[in-house]
Amino acid sequence: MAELEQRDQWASRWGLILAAAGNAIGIGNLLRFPGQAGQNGGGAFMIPYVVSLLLFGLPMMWVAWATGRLGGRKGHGSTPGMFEQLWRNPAAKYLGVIGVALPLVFCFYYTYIESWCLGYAWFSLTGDFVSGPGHTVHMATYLEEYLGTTTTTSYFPGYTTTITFALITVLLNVWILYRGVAKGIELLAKIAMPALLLFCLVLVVRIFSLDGGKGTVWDGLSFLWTPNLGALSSPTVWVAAAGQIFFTLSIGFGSLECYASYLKDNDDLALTGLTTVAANEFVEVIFGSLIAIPACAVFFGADQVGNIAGSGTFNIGMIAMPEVLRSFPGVEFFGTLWFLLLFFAAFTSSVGVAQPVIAFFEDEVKMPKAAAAMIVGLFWVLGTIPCIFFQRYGAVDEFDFWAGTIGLVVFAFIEVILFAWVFKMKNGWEELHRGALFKVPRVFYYVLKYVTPVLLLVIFGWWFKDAIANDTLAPVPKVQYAVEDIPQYEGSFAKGAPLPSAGVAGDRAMSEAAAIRKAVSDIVMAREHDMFAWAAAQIEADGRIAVQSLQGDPNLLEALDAAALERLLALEGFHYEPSSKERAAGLAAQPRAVKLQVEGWHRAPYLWLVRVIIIGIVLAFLVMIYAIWRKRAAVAAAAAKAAAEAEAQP
Amino acid sequence: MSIEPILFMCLTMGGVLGLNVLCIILWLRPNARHPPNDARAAAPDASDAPAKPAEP
Repeated sequence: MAELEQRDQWASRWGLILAAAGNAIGIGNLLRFPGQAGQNGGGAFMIPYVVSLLLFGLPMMWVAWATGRLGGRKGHGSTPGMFEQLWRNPAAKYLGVIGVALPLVFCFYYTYIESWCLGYAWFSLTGDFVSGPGHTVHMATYLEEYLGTTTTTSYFPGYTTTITFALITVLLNVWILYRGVAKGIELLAKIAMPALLLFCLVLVVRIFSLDGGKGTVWDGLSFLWTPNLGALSSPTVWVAAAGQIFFTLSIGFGSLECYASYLKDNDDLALTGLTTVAANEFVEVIFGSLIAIPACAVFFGADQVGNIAGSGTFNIGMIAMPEVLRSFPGVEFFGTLWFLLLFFAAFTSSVGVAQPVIAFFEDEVKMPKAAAAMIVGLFWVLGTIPCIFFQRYGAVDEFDFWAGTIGLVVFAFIEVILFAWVFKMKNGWEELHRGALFKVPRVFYYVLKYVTPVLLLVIFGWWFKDAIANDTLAPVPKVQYAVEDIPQYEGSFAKGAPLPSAGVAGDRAMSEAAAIRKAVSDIVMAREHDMFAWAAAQIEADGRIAVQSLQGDPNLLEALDAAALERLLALEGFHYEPSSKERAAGLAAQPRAVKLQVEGWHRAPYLWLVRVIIIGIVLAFLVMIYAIWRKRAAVAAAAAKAAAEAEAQP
Repeated sequence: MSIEPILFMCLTMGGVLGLNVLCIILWLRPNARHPPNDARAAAPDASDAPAKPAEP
C-alpha cells in the first residue's frame, strides 16, 4: 500500500486533460492530416475519417484509459503489469513488453524530429534562412544538409548543429520526466497547450491576411474540402483515414494507459477519453486545415497545392512553410511561431510516450525517479545517435515503420483482445464506468468486442501488404543527386513534370527514370558500399540541365554515364527556375555552369542495425521482466514459507 | 469557391466544435468534477480474481 501512496498523481483535472490532449496532439495534426485529406478525397475523406474515429479511435481510447487505471490501482504504470491485471497468466506480462519497448524506440526518432522544429525555430528567430542579398536559401537543400542526408555542405558543414539541438531536446524531455507527473508533464501541458492554441490563432489570422501571392487561402480550402465522393470506393482512402486516426490519437503506445494509471477510482474515464479525442480533433480538423495548406496556396498558387500536399509531412512543414513565411514580412516572428508550435506539439507528445518507460523502472524495477530518468535519458541519447548519423540511410523511416506503424497496430490488437475477450467485455465495461457520470452508448460495447479487433487486423494486413509492395522490408539503396554550392544561385532548382526534352511523359517517363535509378541501385547493392560521382553540367536557357561529364566511383560509372544522368534529370523534370530579378536582368538566357553530385547510399547494413537495435531493446525488457517477476515469486514463496513455519510453531 | 467544400468544411468543423462544447458542458455538470464514490467505485475489480500459479 505504501508503494501505491508513493505513486505520482495528477494535480488537477484540467491539467490531466491538457496533458492527455498534449499527448495526442502532435506534428501529425498540423501537417499529416491536411496532406492526407487533400490526397484522399478532400471533404469526402471526412466520411471514412469519422467512421474510423467511431469504430476504433474512440473505442481504443476508452480501452487505454480503462486498462491504465486498472493497472494503476495495483501500482503498475506500464503495460506489463497492466496486462497481467487483464489476464492472470504468466504470459500476459511478456505481451505488455511492447508497450514499454516500442515507446522507448519511438522516442529515439521522434525527439530527433522534434529537435528539427526547435532548430528551425532558432534559425527563424536569427533570420538564418531568410534570403540574403544576391542569393536565395534553397530550403530543400537546407533541410537535407541539416539532416546530413546529402554530402553537399553549402549551409551546414557537419553535424554539430543537428547534434546540439537533438541533445537539448532529449535533455529537456528527460528534465520534464524527472520532475514527475504533476510538476513535470502536467505543468508543461498547462504552459505548452495554451501557447500552442495561441500560436495557431495568430498564424491563422496572419495567413488569412496574406495577399499578393499566386493564389488565395480559398484555393487551399477548396483543395482540402472539395468532396470527391468517387474516392470513397477506393479501399486506400479508407485505410488512409484509419491510419490517420491511429497516428493522431496516440493509441497503441501505452502512454495514455500510463497517464490513466495516475487517476483515482472516482475519476470519470469515459468523459476523460471523450474529451481527449475532442481536443485532438479540434486542433487537427480546424487548425490542421486552416494553416499549412491555405498558406501554401497563397504562395505557390492553386495548381501547386496538390503537389505540396502529396510531398509528405516534412516537406510541407520544413520546406514549403518556411518558403511561404519568409516571402512575407515578419518571418522572424511568424517563422519562430510556426516552428515553436510544431515543437510544443511534439514535446507534449514525446514526454507522454516516454512516461511508461520511466514508470516501468519506477514501479517494476523499484528505482527512484532520478535514477529512472537518468537510465532512460542514457538510452535515449544512445538511441538518438543512429537516428542522426544514419538518417541518410533512412534510419528514421525504418524506426518509424517498425515502432511507429506496425508496432502500434500489433499492440492495439493485443490490448483490445485482452480487454474485450480475456478480461471480458462485461468487466471492461464496468471498469470504464467506475465512478463515471458519463455513460458510453451501449453500441460501443459491441463495437469494441467485435468490430474494433477485425478493423485492426484489416489495417495491419493492408499496411504489411503495402510495405511488401513498396519494398519497405527490403533495404534497397537510395539514389539521389544534389547541386553543389547552391547558395550562389538566386533562383531555385525544382522537380516537376518531365521536361519537353525528355520526349515522353506520364507513366512511361516514370518507368524509364525508375529503370535508370534501378541500374545505379543494383550496382550499389552488388558492390556493397556507398558510391559518389560528380557531374560538370550547364544550365541551359530554358532551365534544363545539360550534363557534360561525369566522374567519380568507377563502379557507379558502370551504371550511369553523363547521357544517362542528363536523361534522368529530364525525365524527373529537374530544372532551374530563375528568380524574378534574374529574369528581369536577362540572366536566364545565359547558360551557366553547375556542378551536380550523384549519391548512391548502401542502406542495408544500417537498416539491419536499426532492426537489431529494436529487437535488442525488446529482448532486454523481456529479460528484465523475467528477472523481476522471478524475484517477486521467490520473495512471495519465502514469505509464505516463513508464515507457514510461524503458524506450525506452538 | 463553390458551395460543396464550404458545406463539408462547415459540417465537419461544426461537428468538432459541437463535440468540444458537449464535453465542456458535461464537465461543468454538478458532481462531474467530484463524482460520488458510489458502490461500483469502491467495489473490487475483476482483476482481483485468483491468479494462475506464477512462474517458478
